[in-house]
Amino acid sequence: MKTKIQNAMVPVLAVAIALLIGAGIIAYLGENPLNAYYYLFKGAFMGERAIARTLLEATPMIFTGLSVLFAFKAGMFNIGGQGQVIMGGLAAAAVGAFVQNIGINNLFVVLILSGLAGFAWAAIAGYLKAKLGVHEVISTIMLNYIAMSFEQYALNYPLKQGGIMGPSPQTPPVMMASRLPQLIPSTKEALNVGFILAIIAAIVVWYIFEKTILGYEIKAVGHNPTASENAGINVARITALSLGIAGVLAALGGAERILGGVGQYTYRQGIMASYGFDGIAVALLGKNSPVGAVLAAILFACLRVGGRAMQFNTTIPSQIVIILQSIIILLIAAENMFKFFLERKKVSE
Amino acid sequence: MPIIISIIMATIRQAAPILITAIGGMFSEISGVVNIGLEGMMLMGAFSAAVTSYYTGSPILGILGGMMAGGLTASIHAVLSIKYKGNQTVSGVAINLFASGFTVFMLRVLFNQSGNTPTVPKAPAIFGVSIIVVLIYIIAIWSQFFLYKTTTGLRMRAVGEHPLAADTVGIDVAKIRYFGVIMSGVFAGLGGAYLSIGALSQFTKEMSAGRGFIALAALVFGKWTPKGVLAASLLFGFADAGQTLIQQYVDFIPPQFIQMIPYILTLLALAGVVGKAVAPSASGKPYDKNSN
Repeated sequence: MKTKIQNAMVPVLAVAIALLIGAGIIAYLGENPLNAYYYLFKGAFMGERAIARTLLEATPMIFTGLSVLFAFKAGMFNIGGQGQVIMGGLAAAAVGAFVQNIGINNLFVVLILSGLAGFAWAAIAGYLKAKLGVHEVISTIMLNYIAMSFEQYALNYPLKQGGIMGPSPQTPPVMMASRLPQLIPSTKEALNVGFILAIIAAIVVWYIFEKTILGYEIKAVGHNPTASENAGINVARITALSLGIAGVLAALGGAERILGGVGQYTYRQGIMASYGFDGIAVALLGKNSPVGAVLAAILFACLRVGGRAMQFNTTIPSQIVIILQSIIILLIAAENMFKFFLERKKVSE
Repeated sequence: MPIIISIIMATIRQAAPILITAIGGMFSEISGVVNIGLEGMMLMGAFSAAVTSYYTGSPILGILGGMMAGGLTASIHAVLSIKYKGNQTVSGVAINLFASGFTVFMLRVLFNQSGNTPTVPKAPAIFGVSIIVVLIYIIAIWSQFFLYKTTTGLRMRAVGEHPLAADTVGIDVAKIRYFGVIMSGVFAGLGGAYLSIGALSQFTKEMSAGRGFIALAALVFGKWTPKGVLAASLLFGFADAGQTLIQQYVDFIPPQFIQMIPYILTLLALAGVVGKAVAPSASGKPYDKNSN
């Protein structure tokens, strides 16, 4: 029990230390840190509209955080979230905009196809790892850059609104039947059912790892692949499958950006921001638990949204929140540092 | 004929920042520390080179400033990975994020700009080639000698392959790794300096534009050897420089597919299709005397 509390302390401490460092920077630049943080908090939480904005920003990060978490459980580091988000988003935009009436529930079909695109893309790295022992960190980085180039190609050629001669590199809007319904239309912030889907995804991921054989096998492989192989688990299959499922989760985050109406239901340049990479921070801060991922995604979204409000009201550039986010990850990477200091304290006592 | 010469020159120029950053990555990985923070170190180098050149008026100091900033950024990665045995991939991710936030933050604080610095003094050129490019190729040739003919170089490789054995014969594993990681930042910073005060005369937001990752690809595709990295960087530089030419002759291939070439080749190399690429065996594993 004590270690469990200690485990939960690391993220809390990391966030607290990062906020303190941020306060130092703000004070150094001649602003009142409390005042700046007040605007940050106000911008992220005060009022229906601010909350809608924060949860909207959190939605893709919940998906990508779960994606990184899923691969982590299998002992793999999925840096490929960005590529998987892009592929999922492109699939959603393509099917949602160009395929007319599918007959059954369009939205459902679009989501499935988007998930499949993410599965296929991530499974390339999964296959390379399972069959040829290629380290997933390098292969997913390469796949990210291939996906980014492919994104530019798709937006400038086959999926471009108005054909190759069209005015700007974006897709046509997706059809009505393939859109995710809005949650609070009065705020005009595009917060949509995708947020609910993200929460459901977190519950499903939790269920898989706590209650199913598949989840047990994935954790076993993540813990000790050799012992798992000896115990009769098909390690290659579990490895490829885990990365594939991680790809599905990230892809759904990409689909939400398109089908939820963030950019008028079109795929535009830059719409996927850095959500895939943000997933790494989310999974780390959330200590690899689905609940933790949801909370961490909301925290990072709050920093982003609040940071813009802070920049508007003070002289502090909003990029300070990116610096804070990186400090949080660095501190978690150096988790041992906390233990190091604690042990040192014990020795000196 | 002049077209061919201009393409060769452009290839040499475009390859330079990739080459030096990949050599940097080699110093880190060969001593056993994975470095995916090269992109961020490069960006910090580009920014500091421009800022130093702006405030001192000396692009030579700018080059040094870029190298120092890269080295300092790398030292964060070194302390986390070596002293605290943190996750090296996580640390690298954080460094990339930090660099992209920090540089834009400082642009606003120092210049009240969000996209670029003012024009700064540019590094001098010899016969139209920036001295930074010359310096980069000299370092690349030196690294071949350094890694295979000097004691420190041989020790680095030993530490990256078998830290326990190296430790047993009295090599200070941590010290060698600190050296490797910090040098990787110094070199990536030099690559960044080329971008801001060699090729251009200003820093622009996110100007490393993925070159740190192309360098990582060149490192893998070049199989962690100086000669291989040189060849891979020239090939990737050519893919970059030759893009417009390739476009003229094969206009049915969209430019985005040419941009993918380095990454696809690297995946194929990893898969063993074009000669198997194998990383130094202790790369990525923290070394703990007591647990072995």
